[in-house]
Amino acid sequence: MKLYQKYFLTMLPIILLCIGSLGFWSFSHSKNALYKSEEENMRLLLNEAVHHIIESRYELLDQTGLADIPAFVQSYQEEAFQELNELSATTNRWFYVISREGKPIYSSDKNNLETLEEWGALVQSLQEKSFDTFKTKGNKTNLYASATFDKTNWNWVIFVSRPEAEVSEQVSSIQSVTIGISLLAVILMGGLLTLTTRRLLIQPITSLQNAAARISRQEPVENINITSNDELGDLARDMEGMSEAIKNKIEEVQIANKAKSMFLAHMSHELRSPLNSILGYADLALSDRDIQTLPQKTQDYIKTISSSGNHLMDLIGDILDFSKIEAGELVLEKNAMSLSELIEETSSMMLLAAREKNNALDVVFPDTIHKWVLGDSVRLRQILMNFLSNAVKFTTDGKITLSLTQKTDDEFTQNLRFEVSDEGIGIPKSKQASLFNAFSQADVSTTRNYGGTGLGLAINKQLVLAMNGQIGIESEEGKGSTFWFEVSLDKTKAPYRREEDVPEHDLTNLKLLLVEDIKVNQIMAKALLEKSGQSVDTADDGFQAIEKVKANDYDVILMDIHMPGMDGVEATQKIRTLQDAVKSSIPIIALTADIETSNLKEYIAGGMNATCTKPLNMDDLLKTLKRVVHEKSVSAA
Amino acid sequence: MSLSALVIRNTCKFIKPVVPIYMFLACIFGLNVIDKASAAPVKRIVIVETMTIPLIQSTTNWYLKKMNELGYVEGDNIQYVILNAEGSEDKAGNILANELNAFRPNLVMTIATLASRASRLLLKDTDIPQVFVLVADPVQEGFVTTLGGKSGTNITGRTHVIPPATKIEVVKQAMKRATQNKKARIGIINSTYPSAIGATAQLLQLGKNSSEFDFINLNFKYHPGADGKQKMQESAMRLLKERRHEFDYLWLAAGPSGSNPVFLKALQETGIPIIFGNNALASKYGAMISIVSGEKINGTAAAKLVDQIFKGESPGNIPITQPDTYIVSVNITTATKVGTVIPSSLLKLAGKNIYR
Repeated sequence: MKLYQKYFLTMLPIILLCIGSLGFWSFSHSKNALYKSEEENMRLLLNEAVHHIIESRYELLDQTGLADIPAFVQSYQEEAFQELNELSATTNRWFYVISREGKPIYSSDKNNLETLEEWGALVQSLQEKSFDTFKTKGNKTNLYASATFDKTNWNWVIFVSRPEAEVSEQVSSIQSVTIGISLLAVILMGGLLTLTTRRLLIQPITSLQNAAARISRQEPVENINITSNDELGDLARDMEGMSEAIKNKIEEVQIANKAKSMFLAHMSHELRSPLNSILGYADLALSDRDIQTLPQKTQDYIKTISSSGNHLMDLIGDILDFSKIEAGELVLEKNAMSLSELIEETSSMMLLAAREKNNALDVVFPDTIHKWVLGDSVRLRQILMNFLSNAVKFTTDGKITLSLTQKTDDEFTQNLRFEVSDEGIGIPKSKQASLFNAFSQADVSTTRNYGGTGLGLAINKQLVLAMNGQIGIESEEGKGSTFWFEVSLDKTKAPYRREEDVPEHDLTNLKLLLVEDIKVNQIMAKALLEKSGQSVDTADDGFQAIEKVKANDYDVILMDIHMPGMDGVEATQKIRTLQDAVKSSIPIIALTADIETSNLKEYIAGGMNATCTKPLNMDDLLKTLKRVVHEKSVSAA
Repeated sequence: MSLSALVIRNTCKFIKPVVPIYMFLACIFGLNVIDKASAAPVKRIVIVETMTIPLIQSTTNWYLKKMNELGYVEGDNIQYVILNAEGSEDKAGNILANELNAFRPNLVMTIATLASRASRLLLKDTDIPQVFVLVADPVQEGFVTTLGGKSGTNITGRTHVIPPATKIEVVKQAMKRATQNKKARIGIINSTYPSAIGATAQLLQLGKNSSEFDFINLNFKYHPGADGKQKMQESAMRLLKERRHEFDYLWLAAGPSGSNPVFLKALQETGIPIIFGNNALASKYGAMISIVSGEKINGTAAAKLVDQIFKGESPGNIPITQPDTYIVSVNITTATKVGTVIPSSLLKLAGKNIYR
């Protein structure tokens, strides 16, 4: 209900009550005043009748000595009655003269002479009251006033009366007028009050409310249409200031977030790039046939470098993920994905690690589950990997189960529960509540004995919450744990699998141009690619890349993004504008440590054909090469 | 001789004749001043009374009294000459003419119709102001074109009678009971005195449209003078006797007879109910109702008119009006005899003038 409606509905009864009370008081007062006035009128008339009409004649007779002449007495009494008739006609009141003994003498009401007897009876019962009501036959109530005239032969009681109905009629009239005026007053007052309140309060409050809503939507509010010099005006000015401050703060935050994002992206690149080299060279060393000739200790050192490097890469990934989540930079994809493939790939990735600790890894995937859904497969895999890696970490000689169950299902959506159960060390109840908090592990001994940063579960929680899901744990110390999360995923159909339709292309003897500014990465990548049978030329930056493209023919360009001078995006744009149609349409694959989807899309939009993330995964790179080569051959056809 | 001695000597010589001269002149001047201061003009007023009846003399007395109150002290600043016409118009003219020849008055006051008529003939071409009272019909006399109007000449005054229509209305109210079932036949007893004739004519005219009254003219000849009273009385009685069958009641028209107690007593003794008279005396002698303006009212009014004229107002600019105050008298016995009741409103007006 709107404020003004509430206000109106609140004020209306109050106004009704006040006006009603006033009206009732006014009516009562008027009614009493009316009766009082009638009483006064009657007294005046009686005074006129008794003193001026009757008594003056009596005294005249008395003073002139004519009181003993019956003709004069009778004549003057008739004169008095005649004058009472005239008075009755002009004042619309009835006059009655009754002797003290109750004998009727005169009535001005010639149409109802029978009532004279009743008035005669009244005389007998007359108390001190000189103003009262009297009910005659026919149930007619009359107001009357009475006075006595006690003189010899003129021993009378004089009444002046009026039907109460006539007074009541006036009362009814007053009542109707009072009601009418009260209603009018209610309407007028209500209307005026509503208009005034609306203008003075409601409209400004509405303006303020709209402004607050806009502020809550982070829209700037420069001017609120309230110019009154009062509290509302002050509030409006304050809100405008607040909006300005919020806007500035948002800008600051946006700038800070942007800076943070740029920092994260930069740090991601800066951290991953050298690490990429380390891992790359370690892999090269480990895959080199000649490594067998090295002492075992040296081989172990290289293995350690590789495993530590991978571990560091995971740590960097976790930290960057967490920072991204903290900065609100997390963006979930919504693409078609296969749940069965996800489960299979994830379990496959952890199978070896599980077996190393003599753990069995089972997968439960019911057939009732709709396989193809819309979701972020990367993040779902990340969550499952975190759970599985913890299960493997904390379980030895046990069983680890990755299961998927359908909680609810309808035409478009299914609510799924992912569970990773283990027979590991379990988690005490007291520690379970804080388990999903950042940097939290069961206890400090966990870090010491099992390692880890304590970010994995926190990242999982944020990811699940971002998917509008729920996450939790059921565990018993010494018996094992079950980590679970539930999400709702929209059903979809299996997409066209371009990879399946991509025929096998011979990637040997492909002429590649590798554009990479970091020498060690350049050497590593070139070595890996030449090992796969490609012919690789190199360029150190964007400028060189353009020159080389102009001078030579290449099948595919592998373009690093972050380079000094001219970066990969700019170099791509320049290549795309070359005059030569063949050269300008060379497939370009972005090589980047940046895993931000928005950035990757930006590279594609900038003219690149595909992306590969660093550290380079040769399988992924070869797949990507295959795809772009296929696409090129299709477009050429 | 030294200079100072010479001066003194010459001064004495000068003073001796001059001083008496100065004293003589001072006396003459002083006496002149005193004389002027004490010599207020004495106004001379001639009062002409038509006849000797209480109404007229009483009016004169009230007039003189009021004049005195107004500052006109006889012998001091005013002098009166009172003439009486003894009921004769001719005599009124003669005595006034003689007076005018002897001494020119400052003002002539006439009381009653005959004196006023005769005086008018003598004064109309002069600039001597004339003030009249007790004239029943100034319009009929030619003094003014309409009552309430101004003469535009050297005459002004007051009439003393109420309009005849008012009289009839009053009588009608009083006679309500008596005329409930039949008309009252009322004989208007009147002499040929001008005011009486005029009043009678008006009554007869108005009576034509009356549903309560039939008026009958009972006219007898007016005789001036003291002897005339007896003659008029005899004429009237004879008339009443002869025509008794024509009327039930009597109405006394204006005229000197209406003020004559002997005449009134004679009328009373006829036993014929008199329903209207012209003065309280008439009611005393049996007139059921009398309405008249009264001597005091008229005398006082005349004095005020004279005072106005002496203060510079032209008589022709003073309206000739009726009195606005009347004296009502009633006779209860006659009312009872007539079989009616005097209305209380009339009885109240009568005040102490109620006769039984």
